[in-house]
Amino acid sequence: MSRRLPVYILLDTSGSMRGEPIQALKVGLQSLVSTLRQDPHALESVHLSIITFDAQARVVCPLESLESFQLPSIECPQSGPTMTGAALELLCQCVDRDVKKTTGDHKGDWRPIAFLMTDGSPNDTALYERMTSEVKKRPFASVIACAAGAKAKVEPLKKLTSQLFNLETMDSHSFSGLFQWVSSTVSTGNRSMGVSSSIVLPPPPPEIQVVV
Amino acid sequence: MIISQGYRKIKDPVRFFRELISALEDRHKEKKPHGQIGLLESWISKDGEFNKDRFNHDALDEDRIRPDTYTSDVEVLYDLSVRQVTGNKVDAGTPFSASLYKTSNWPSAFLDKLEEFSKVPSEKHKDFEVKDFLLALSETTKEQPPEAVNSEPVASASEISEGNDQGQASKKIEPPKEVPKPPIPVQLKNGTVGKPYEYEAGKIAKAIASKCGDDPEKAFIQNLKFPEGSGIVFDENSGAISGSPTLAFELEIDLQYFKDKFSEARPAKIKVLINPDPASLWKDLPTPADAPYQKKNTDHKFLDAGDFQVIAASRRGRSHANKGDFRDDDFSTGFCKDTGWVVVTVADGAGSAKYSRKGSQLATETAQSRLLNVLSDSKNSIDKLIDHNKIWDAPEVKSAVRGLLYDAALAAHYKLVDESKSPSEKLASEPILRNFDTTLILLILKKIPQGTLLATFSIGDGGAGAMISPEAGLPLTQQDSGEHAGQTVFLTFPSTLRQEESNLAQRFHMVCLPEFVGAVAMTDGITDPKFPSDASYSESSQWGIFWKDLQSGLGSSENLLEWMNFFAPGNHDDRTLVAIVPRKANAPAHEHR
Repeated sequence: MSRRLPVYILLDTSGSMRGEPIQALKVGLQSLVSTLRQDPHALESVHLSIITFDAQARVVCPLESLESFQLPSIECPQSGPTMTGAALELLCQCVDRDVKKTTGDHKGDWRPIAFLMTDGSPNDTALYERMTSEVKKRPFASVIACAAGAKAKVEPLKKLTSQLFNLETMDSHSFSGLFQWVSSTVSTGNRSMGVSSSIVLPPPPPEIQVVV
Repeated sequence: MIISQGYRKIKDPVRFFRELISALEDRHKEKKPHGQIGLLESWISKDGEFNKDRFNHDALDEDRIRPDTYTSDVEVLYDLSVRQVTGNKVDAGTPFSASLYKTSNWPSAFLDKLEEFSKVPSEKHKDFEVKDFLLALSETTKEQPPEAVNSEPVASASEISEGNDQGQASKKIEPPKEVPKPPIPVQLKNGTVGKPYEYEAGKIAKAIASKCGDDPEKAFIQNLKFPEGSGIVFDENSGAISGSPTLAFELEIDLQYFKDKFSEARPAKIKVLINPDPASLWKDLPTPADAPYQKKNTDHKFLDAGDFQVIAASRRGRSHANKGDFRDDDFSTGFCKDTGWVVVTVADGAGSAKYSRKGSQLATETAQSRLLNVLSDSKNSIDKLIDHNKIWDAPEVKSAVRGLLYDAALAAHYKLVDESKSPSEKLASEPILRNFDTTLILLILKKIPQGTLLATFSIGDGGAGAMISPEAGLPLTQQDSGEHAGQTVFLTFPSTLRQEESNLAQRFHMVCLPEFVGAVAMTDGITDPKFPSDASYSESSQWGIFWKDLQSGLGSSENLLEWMNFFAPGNHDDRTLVAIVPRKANAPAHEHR
C-alpha cells in the first residue's frame, strides 16, 4: 500500500447554496475528480473525503481512494444556519482517525490538505473560534479557504488560514476554475518538504481573487 | 449545465415572454442559433425587462452554443418560468407542482400548464408549443395584473428537495407517477484499466428492484452491452459482469430491466467508471531550456578505485518527468590514489524547493572536494591516527572521522548559503536559502589491516548500508523521517548541523567489516520502494533481498541506470544510487565514459 495523500473538501450546503450555486458546485466537483484522474501520481496517492455543513456537519463521503471514489449526493436544506465550526470539529476528528503517522512498520501518509468553501459566515462562532486553533494543531500541509459569492465573509476565514481566496460569482464556470486549481495544488502535495513547511500554491486562475 | 449569473425577477411575465419568444422566432427565421438555456437569466435586465441586446449578443457568441446542451424553445421557456415562479428554488429537473403556488400571483392556468409539461417524458416536449404557454399566461392575467408577481411563494421541503443527483442529467423532465419512471441509474463500483473487474450476478437487478419497490429476488436484467473493446462483458446467463478493462471511460449504459419473468421489459441504466491505468498516464516532458541551473535528466559514472569499483547512476523520477521538472537528485564519487580512500556522496533536492537541483549539486561537489582534499594527502591526520592506534574504533579515530565528515557537510551548508546570497546564475528573483533545500549522505571507505572501514554522515532521508554477506546487510544511516510522508530535514536547516552530541551522534556511523561484500548510498527514490518501513530498513535480511535485486544493475553504470527504472506504485521520485563493490578478480581495468 503506497502512501496516501488525504484531501478533505468542506462544502457549505446551507440554504443560500440552494438552486444554481449547488448545481454549479457539483459540476465543479465533478471536474475536480475528472482532472485528478488524469494525473497518475494523484491516481495512486490521492484519497478524498467530502464534509458538508449547514445546520449540521456530516461526512457525506469518508476518505476513499481516488480510484474508487464516487461523487456523493449533495443536498441543501431550504434554510438554516451555517455551522462552520462543527465542520472543522468533524474535520479534526476525521484527520485524527484517518491520517496514518509513520511507525516502525509502515510509512506515514502525506500531510493532509483541507479545502473549505463557504458562501456565508459561521453561525457557531464560539466553536468556530476554538476549532480554528485546533485545525492549526493538525499536520495539514495546506488549508485553503474560499469565500464564494457576495455574501461570504472573509474575516472569520482569516483566522483559519492565510491561504484565502475569493470567488465572486458562483456559477459552474467559476467553480470549475476553482476546482481545477485545487487539483493542481493537490498535485503538488506529494512531495518531500520540511517538517513544518507549507505547500507553495500555484497561481490561481483569474476568476479567483487572492485575499490579502 | 446551468450557468446563469444570478437570480433576477421578471417584472411583467407576459411582456417579457412575448419579447423573448419573438426574439427566438427572429433567430429561427434567420436560421441562426440562440444561446443555451443557462444564459437565460442574463437576458433579464436589472429592472426585470427582457434584454434583447444581451440576448442577441449571447446568440452571436458561437462558443457558448454547444450542440450537446441545445434546448428547444419550449424547454427554455419552461425552465425560466419555473425559476421565476418558485423564486429560483426549483430547477427544471424537479417535477413542478402547480398547487403549491396557487397562492402566488402567477396565473393559475399558466401554473397548470407548467405542471402538465413537467410530468411528460422529455420526448413528448415537442408536442407542446410556446403559444400554449403564452395563451395561458395572457388569458388569466386579465384578472390578475402582472405587476403583482413579485410576492415570493413558499414551497414545501419535499417539493424543493434536490431531486436526483446526476448533475447535468437533472435537466431531464420526470414523467408522471402513473407510468413507471426510468429508475435513477445504478452506479457500479469503479474499475481500473488492467485490473480484473468483477460485478456479481444479480446485483444490478437487485439494486434497480429496490429502487422501484419490486421484489429483488425476482428481478433480472438483459441486454447490457459494454462498449466494443472495453474488455468487460455482461454474461446474459449468469447475470455477472467480468473481464479486465482495456479502455478508460465514464458511461451511462442502457439495459432492459424485468420486474419478474412475467413482466415486460423496462428501460434502465447503469453508470460505470473505469479509471485509466496510472502507468499509461506518465508523460516524459522536457525540462525548460531557458531555466537557470540546467541539469541532465540522467547521469551515470563508473570509477575504478583501487581495491574497489564504484558504480553510480541517477535518474529523473516519473513524477518530475510528468511535469517537465528537473532531476533534483545528485551524486559524486572520488578516489584518493595515494591513500586508498573512496569518497561517495548522494543528495536529494527537495521537491518543494525551487532550485534544489542546484542545492544537491553544490552539496555533493563541495563535500566531495573537501573530503578528497583531506584524504588524498598521504600525511592526513585520519590515517595517522588509525596507524597509531591500531584499533579502528578508538575514540580518537572516531572523533577525527566524525569531525572530518561534519566539516564537509558544514562546508556544503555554507556553499548553499553563499549561493543564496550571490547566485552563480542569473535568477528572476533573489533566492532564499530554502530554495536550495537538499539532503546529503556522505560515505567514505578504505581498506585497512582489520578489514574495510566505512563511515557515514547523513542529513535527511534516503540511506546507506553495507553487506556483511550476500544475504545480510546493515544500515549505515538513520533516516530522518517525520510523522508523515515526505517530511524530512535538510542540509539548509541550521538546526541539523548544530554541534550537539545528541544531534550529531545519530548522523554519524562507522563500522569495520572483515569481509567486504558491498556498500550502497541512495536517495529516498530507492529506499522508499525497497525498504517500505523503518523496521524493514533495519532488517538485515531485507538488505539481502535488496542486494540480490540490485545485482542485475551492477554490471556497468548503464546497467544501474536501467535497473533503477523499476516500477513501484506511488513511488516516482528521482532515484540515485552509488554502489561500491570489491574489485572483481580479472575485472576489466576500467569502463570509463
